Amino acid sequence: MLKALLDDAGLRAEGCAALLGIAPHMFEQWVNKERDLPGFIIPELASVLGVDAKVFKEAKVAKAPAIWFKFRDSGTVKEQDRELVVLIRRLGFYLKQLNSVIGFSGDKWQVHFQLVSKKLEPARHESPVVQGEIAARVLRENIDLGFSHKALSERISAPGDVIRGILRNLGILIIEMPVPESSIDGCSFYVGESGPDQGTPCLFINTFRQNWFRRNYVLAHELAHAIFDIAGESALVDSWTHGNRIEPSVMEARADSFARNCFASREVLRSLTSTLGLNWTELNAKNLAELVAHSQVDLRIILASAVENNLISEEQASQYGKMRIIKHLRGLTAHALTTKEFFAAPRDTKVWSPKERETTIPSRTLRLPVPYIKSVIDACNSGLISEGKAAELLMIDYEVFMERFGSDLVDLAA
Amino acid sequence: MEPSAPGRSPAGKRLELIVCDTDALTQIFCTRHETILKQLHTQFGIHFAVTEAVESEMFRPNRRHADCCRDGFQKALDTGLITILSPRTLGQFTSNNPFVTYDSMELLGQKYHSVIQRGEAYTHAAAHVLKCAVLSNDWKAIRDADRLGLALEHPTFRVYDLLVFLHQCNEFAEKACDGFRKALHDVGESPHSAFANRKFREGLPGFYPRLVNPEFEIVGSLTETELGDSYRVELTKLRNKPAD
Repeated sequence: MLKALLDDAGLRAEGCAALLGIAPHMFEQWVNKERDLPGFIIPELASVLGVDAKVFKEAKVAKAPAIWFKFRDSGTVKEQDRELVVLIRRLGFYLKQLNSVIGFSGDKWQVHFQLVSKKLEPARHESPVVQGEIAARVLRENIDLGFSHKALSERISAPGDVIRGILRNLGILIIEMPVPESSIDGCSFYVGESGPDQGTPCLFINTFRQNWFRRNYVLAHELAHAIFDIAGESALVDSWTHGNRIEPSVMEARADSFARNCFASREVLRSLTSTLGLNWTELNAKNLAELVAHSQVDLRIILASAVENNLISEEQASQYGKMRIIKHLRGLTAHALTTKEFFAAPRDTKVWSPKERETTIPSRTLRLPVPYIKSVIDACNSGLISEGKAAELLMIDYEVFMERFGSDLVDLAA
Repeated sequence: MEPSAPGRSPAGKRLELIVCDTDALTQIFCTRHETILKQLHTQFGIHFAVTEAVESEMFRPNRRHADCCRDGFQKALDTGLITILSPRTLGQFTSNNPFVTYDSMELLGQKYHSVIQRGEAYTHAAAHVLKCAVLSNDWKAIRDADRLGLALEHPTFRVYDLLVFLHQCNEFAEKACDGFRKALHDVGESPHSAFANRKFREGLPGFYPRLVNPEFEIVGSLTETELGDSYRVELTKLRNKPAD
């Protein structure tokens, strides 16, 4: 049964064992039915593979869930991507455990997703571009994505600064890490046992060759898929930078429009025009850098939106797109710094380096989200979990945990 | 925590089974001191067992000391010195239905696992269900479990409890005990804090043994020094050696 599931999912037993931290020979024995699957691994394995735990307990014959068909070998998806999905789904299992211990429901996203879908219902006949625009507006208004009138007038924040925190507070899992060998730019799928009722939406963004401004767009794009598509499609995989993009489907066109309107909607561009005193017919590199710094999204997205809203022509967009804005941008926002520059900059609070956020599973690495690590440390410091458990939740060895985070722990006995 | 009746395990019967956790077994196997387990088995009739979760941890590649423990641990499994707790083997340790017992262990293990690490969680769950003792050095797990309200109502021995017990029974000379500390040091493991940077003789007065033989003079501290000390178990030599 386990063998059939793994075959169906396109996962190698040996690779799976390594990712789950199980001795290969033991995993092999379970796969070959030489030994019964032990109870301790069933909850985790069920969650990772996306099946009901009963499948293993009652030794039922089961097919792999649809998500694994979406991640089957193709021009875009390779074995390393499936392995990464295994690790992310394992993190999803631990996230659920952590949420349950700290008393975080983690399902607020459902209310907002349902609200967007409900508000969009009357516009179902509209083009996907209009649907995306409406959905972005509804979401922005309801979760205060940073471009509310108040936020704009008071310059409190912009979506890029707040979107991750807001989505995580709603219970959505966001993974951003570089995977150079992958062709995937972003994808969204559920993590958890099975189905949208039990699962948690996960948005993955491959940060390799994608700057922060581009990543914001990809994040919003994957969010659109999570809102509209993954309940039916199980997973959506996007690959633009590797030229694998085909003619956009309704789902992709809607997600594009949604992402564009999260960061560079008509209202946002209008507001920035007056705030920054811009003349769209005579923009220079500095003006364009200011637009990127304030809207917090890739220049190409701003220009596409400006064309769509008749602020500039296609030719002007092409001309502006060739301007080099990086020098100005680096002077305007820390988000334009390289990783090295970012970590070299002085700051008051401690920032964990990317290396410190990595799991210690030898075969494949997962870079954990900072808020997740923080929640684990807080749970440990509040006495809700043991240090050993904290290390397990972070998928690192205990010794490494103490080495990395020992100074962040408080002595509860004292 | 309520202490057990002196000389008896919490179930009121002679101590026969100790469920071992990864950290304690690691210290025993990476220092090649399997003899501690062997002596306790042959002389005192103690059976040692591990949960499948601990078996998995012991064999997990890339774990600290995994390479130096693997062969010794495998041999202990092959020779029956250590038994893996499963529905097939549980009949040796309980008169209840082994499948029901296994399910109870798994259920409790899952509950513990939400707050403590997997190996510890399933080890303590097994000991709770089987009403036996645990071998684990992780005092933090005991402290955390106590604080988290998990009912660990069973004795938890540290490796040094076994060592001091064998020393008390004249089975392990002082020199051999010092040899164990040196072997731990050589592989980068720490002894119990009472023996840190001290010879066995010097550390002993600061150590409250949780396993004692009433037929010999009690050694070590007379007062409890840490959480878990309230469970002191008395154990005497077997009159007849156990059949393997």
